[in-house]
Amino acid sequence: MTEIACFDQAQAGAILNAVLRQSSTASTTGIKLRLGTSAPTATGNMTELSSSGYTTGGTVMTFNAASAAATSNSSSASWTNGGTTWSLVGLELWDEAGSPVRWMFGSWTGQPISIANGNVFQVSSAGVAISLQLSGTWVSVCYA
Amino acid sequence: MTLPGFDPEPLRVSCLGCGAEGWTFDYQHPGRAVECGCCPEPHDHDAHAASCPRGHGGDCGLGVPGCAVCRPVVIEGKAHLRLLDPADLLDANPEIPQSLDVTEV
Repeated sequence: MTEIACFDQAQAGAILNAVLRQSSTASTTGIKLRLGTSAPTATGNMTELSSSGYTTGGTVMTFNAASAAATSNSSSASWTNGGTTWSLVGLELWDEAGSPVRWMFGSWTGQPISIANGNVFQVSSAGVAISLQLSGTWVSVCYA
Repeated sequence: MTLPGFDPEPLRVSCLGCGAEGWTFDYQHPGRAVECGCCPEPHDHDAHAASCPRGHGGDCGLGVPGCAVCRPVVIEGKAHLRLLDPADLLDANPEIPQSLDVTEV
């Protein structure tokens, strides 16, 4: 089964509680983008890349103010592979709390993407697009 | 019918030496996407860079004296994170019928 990418399950609950139960929730300090070699799920973290050229814990990334229920990164980031070939599959967005919290996850378009030694993997601004589906058309089926 | 956001998207790849760029759906060999004056050979730049006989690894390229293999490339990654996209739901739940045969009783 393919997992639906976006919110960590625990944080999705926190967001629902913020709306419906007036509890407060927010990411802390800032957001970091992490690279992974496996696919994350709503309840399971990906395997974070561990290789020369990448610092575990991720790289700080800033985002544009949301508009029309969508946003994207405003900063860019890049990593130069200094080791064996990377096979990039997933990405995760974590905050910078003392004990970082994972907020969102997804997979790279076209994953797995091979990044050979010496090559650069770059995420330009707007490379990570995030959107919420506000409504959709569904057909109700009644069986006689 | 192609669902929005589900088109296969190519990777943008550019040469670190001259900036020449290319696009590819070959996610396993993105270095092949760029052909430029820095390395006009139609071969796997990634593989050549990784096996540089002079031990340059992937750091070969313009400005490296005597280097005879490929320059590194920049591979641009993209991701779309969507919440509650009906297409995602259909993909995640193949048991949901995507079309129905309606028979009049």
